[in-house]
Amino acid sequence: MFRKLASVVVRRRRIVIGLWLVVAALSLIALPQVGSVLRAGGFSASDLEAELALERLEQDFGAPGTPIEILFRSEDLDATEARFIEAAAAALQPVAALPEVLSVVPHWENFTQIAPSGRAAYAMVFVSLDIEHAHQLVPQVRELVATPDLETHVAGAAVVYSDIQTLSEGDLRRAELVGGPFVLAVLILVFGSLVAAAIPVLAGGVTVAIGLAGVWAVGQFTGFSVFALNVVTLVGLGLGADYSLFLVSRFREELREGRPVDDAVIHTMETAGRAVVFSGLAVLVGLGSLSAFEFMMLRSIGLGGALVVLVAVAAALTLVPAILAELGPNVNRWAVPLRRFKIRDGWDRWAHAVMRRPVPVFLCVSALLILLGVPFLHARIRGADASVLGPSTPARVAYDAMSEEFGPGQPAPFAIVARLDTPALASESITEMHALGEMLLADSRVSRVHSYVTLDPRITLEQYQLLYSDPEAISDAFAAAAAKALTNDRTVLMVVEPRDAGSSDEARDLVQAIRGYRDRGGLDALVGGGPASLTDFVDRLYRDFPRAVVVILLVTYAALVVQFRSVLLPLKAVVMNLLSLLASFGTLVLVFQDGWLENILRFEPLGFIEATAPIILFAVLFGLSMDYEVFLLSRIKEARDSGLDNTASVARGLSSSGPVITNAALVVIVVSLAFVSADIVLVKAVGLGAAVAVFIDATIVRSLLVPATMRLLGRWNWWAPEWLFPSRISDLQ
Amino acid sequence: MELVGTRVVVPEPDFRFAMNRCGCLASFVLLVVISSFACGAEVAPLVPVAPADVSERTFVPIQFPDDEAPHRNLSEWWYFTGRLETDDGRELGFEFVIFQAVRGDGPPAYAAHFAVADLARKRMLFTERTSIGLSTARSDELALCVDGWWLALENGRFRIKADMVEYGLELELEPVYGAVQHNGGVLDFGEFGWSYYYSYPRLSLSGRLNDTRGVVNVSGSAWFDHQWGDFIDVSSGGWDWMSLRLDDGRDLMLTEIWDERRRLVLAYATLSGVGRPLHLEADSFTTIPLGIWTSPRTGISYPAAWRVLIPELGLDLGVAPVFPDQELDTRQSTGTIYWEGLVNITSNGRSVGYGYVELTGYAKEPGVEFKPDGLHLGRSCDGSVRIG
Repeated sequence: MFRKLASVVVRRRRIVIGLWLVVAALSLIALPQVGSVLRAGGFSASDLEAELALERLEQDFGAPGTPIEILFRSEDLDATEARFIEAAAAALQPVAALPEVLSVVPHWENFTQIAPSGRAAYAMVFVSLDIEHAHQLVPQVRELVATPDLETHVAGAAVVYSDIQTLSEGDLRRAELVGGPFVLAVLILVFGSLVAAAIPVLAGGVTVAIGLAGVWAVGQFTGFSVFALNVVTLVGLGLGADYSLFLVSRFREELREGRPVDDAVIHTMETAGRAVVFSGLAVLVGLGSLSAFEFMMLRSIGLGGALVVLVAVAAALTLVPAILAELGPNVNRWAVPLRRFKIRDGWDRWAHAVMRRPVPVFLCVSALLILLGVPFLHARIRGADASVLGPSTPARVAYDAMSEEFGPGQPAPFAIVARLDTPALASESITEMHALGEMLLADSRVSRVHSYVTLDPRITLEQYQLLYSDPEAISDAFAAAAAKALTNDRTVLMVVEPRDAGSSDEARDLVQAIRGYRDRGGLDALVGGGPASLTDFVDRLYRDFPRAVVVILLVTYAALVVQFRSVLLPLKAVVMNLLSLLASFGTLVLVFQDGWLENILRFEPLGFIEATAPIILFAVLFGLSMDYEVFLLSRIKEARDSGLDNTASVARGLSSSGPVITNAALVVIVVSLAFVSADIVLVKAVGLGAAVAVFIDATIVRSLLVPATMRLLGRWNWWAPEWLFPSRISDLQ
Repeated sequence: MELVGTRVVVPEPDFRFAMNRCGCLASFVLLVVISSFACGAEVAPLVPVAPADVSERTFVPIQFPDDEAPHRNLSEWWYFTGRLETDDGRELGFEFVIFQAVRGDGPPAYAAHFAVADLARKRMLFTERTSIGLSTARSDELALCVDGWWLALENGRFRIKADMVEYGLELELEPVYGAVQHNGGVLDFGEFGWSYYYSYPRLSLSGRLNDTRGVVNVSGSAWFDHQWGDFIDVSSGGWDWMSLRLDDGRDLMLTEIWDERRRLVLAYATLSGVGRPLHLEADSFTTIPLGIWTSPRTGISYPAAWRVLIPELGLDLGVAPVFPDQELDTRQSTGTIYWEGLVNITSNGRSVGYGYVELTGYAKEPGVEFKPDGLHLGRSCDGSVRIG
């Protein structure tokens, strides 16, 4: 199949190149529009309890709109002073006039919006756009509320989304600006030729451009996460360049061996091209598995990733061979006079040295990888809040200011929406909700509770019953306001501010505790809002994750079984891949949770691992890491098929693939590290995780673990049951 | 999760791979062979709270002048009612009150009522204002400002300032004799709560009236009440309150508080001004309504005159409004409609003094609502700024 395809490409090379150029040019036209289909959210699913709670809230209380919080702060004015209120009112006036604004609730209409310090207060602005689109208003709101008299901050989920969108696009531009030249430099160093170096860069660029255009096209029908942009670029640039690097290297090798150009191209495609397809399949499976998640954020990353992998493989199978066929020996033109390392013999000696002591090498390396992965044991996986943004990001500054003034739990309160058997103001309902309110107020995890039965701890249950005894004439102003805002017939809203941040263990426990109480007491209540959403999101993610992992492992294993016609070798490859991923995950915890290298990488440790990071990393890295294993084992198999024994074929495979894998890994590491400069911790984590995993894979795993295990397994490496490959004569016979 | 009828059936929290505190995921390699496992740490449940025992509540005696200042109790008010004469001989009654309400750790909320009864024109005008108190205000002195109206206590003298469309008053009031603590200073309202309560039953006043005719000096006398505590105001109940100043120097306060079924919650009276204050229990006096007045605006009917009998003191008094229509509809600020008016006191057909009567809990109007829009915030005490 590969030979046939390569023959066609070689014959029609100019048409192939022309077609790719046309598609790439069309893609460039679509590129500026990509941002229009991207969404910063995508962390919810309609059947999560937190979502059902919000749905119930909207059903029973109406949809107030998406909230945006405007925090006003002064060093010398009290929030209830005339000058403060005058300045805040003037700042809010133009915001209230925006057509998208449904209502504005300033602090002088709700005293709970005044900070305990008295020097800060916030206004709630409700807009008609949903959370996925409300962020579009944020820049305008920021501009309108700016006042010289007060310090102002615009806070809330929509604001976080807005900054994520802006930062993500900035991160991408920076990564491209940093990564592109470095990749080119590495390739020039590798090939010693500007022409040869330009091919992977061109292939990577075309892959990314067409991949992003594909995102735009598919985005017309389904939502795409803004993070898909980063993943598509990372994977597209990395794989596009990697695959062409493999092909160009092999092609030059074939030319050196004296093959005519067309034959060299065809042979390259038969060997390296075949490996590219299997490698691409592994990456495709990994990223495609994300499509199984119901959260748009992961699903779209999977979809975008799968798209770009297909483009990368297609470019490797058609564009690159067409270019190579067209260039022929000119691929070596414009040589750069650099001293290049010749370490092929070194690899051979190294492989034999390792295979002389396979057991200690295997044990030591396995222990080392497991040791590197140990930090993952204390990983705290949590949903993301504004703390994933850099400390100088406006949304983060606003989040910090809100936390500082109102306590860390205020920015993410959660809502208990209870439907009662009797009207909310009936004595029985008051008793039921008062008991819950009292328990919450007495709980050390709770900061404040807003409800119609927790107005003040000095008001007793009996007094609440008296206050609401005549629902038509509640004379207490606070009680009347609370009853109006927080009850509706038989439905009650109780807003709970946790003492700690929404992403904390305490907030998470609190959600579980309330739900536990609900389940034991038979109260028909749903818990939604900040911490509940995060808890539900993380729980659902990690409920589905094992399934995705199993699918990835099984499909990859099956593909490798077909590729290598062995059952043990693929199993070994999968396990070793997992080991390098484990080490990468351990690094992730050390850096992003525990704060190692925080000064070098310029970030503030989160104290937790953002929930989607391990999943995205797993999906991206499993395929990427597998690349090198596939290329290495392909070369070993080639050597073995040529008649060499196990040890010799391993040494040959290692030495023949050594430089190219090193160079390919270098390219991916450079591309990945370019994303470490990102402002969004998630992007930073994916970049660093990928770099670490590929580094471990290309060094420790390839040079130590693979030869050691190959030696240990001996002839069992290539064993497969007779019935699996009937045409094959087993080595064991 | 699935919805079954109106009940929600929620499965046990799924902690698989959620990596809770215990540090799950013993090894990533295990992912290959272990597809799921549970490892949730024990979550501390919500613990039921026993109701606070209020039977043993102890009260610290009122301290002067410290307790003249605002407290952070649920409810508090400073209440002036009085009668004054202008230099040009006109007689007026007035009411000026500031209410303070505190809930939780929020800033105090204020409402204020100002009413002037013009005896010559048999007309009462009133208005109301609201504001939020300074979150960071000192609470060791009495200096309150509600949207431009203010009340202060300086060197033992009260100063008040309030205005409305046709009348503006600036008064200085000085107690003629010391504070009188009713019922020992503390009132028990039963399930409604408790309150500290003292009065300056007789204050001499002087100041200026600014009306349509210009500024004139005024003088007269007034009654001051200060009440604070953790009690709630329930629309379904109410009270009748009388402050009667007799020409012979005796001052009498009578009150009857009832619940939503008009069962008496508390009734007592205090006599002061001559000798030591005398506390009178509910069975020591009788108030007999003698007429009814129905408001043409709200349709609410109020008692319109009374006969007050206190055999122990040999008092048989007639109490009648100087004119009937002294109703205040203050739903925009305190959510209530009540009657508070200047009354004449007679005994055996001759005038023996004057007083003020307050009647609450007669309103049966539905839909009494707190109106945040009614908050006219931001006018400072010097009246320089106003936010609409």
